[in-house]
Amino acid sequence: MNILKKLITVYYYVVGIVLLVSILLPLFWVFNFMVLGNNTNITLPSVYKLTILILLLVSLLFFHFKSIRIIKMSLNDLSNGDYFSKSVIENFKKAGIYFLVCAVLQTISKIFSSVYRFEIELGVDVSVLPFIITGLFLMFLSESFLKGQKLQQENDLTI
Amino acid sequence: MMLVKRDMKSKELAEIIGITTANLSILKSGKAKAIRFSTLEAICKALECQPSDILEYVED
Repeated sequence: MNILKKLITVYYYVVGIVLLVSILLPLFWVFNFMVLGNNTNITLPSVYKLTILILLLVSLLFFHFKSIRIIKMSLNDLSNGDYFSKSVIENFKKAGIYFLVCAVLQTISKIFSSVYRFEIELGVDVSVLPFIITGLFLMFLSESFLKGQKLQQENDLTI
Repeated sequence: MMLVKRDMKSKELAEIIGITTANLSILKSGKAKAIRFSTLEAICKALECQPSDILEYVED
């Protein structure tokens, strides 16, 4: 459990730094484009497309960051042996939903970028599968913990 | 009811049957989900009564 906690904490900070950079970098580009006037080879439609793509990727990172944060919070309860607490059940469900949102956002951004670059390929893209599997697994864990909580309550009220 | 009949206090009964007063309170209030046969046996023994004297069916 301690190793998992440390891993999640490290990953949490890595995602946080990446999110921060992904927010600051486009701002720097905008500053470069608007203030310094380095607008060579940049057309207005491409700026719009790029902005949408960046927004999609930033929101994807934001939801990923939030889900990791929620898991990190729940690990404290889990390490204390409090498996069936209300917060763990709710947090796991939330994290699962956020992972599914990440999968949707990644799919949209992939479709968008492939259309933008005209690199449409035939085949199945499995890169969203980890998000979907993790999300559904977390939601399943939440349901299991909910059943566990009911059993524990029954057990506590058996005198 | 049986406690009054036997002129016994809750704390006393809890000590005799070996459960906490908090758990006895749960039993008395009807919040308990289930009762062990050993607990029921101990209560009946302490109060000198039958299970039917202390159990009652109430429709939800």
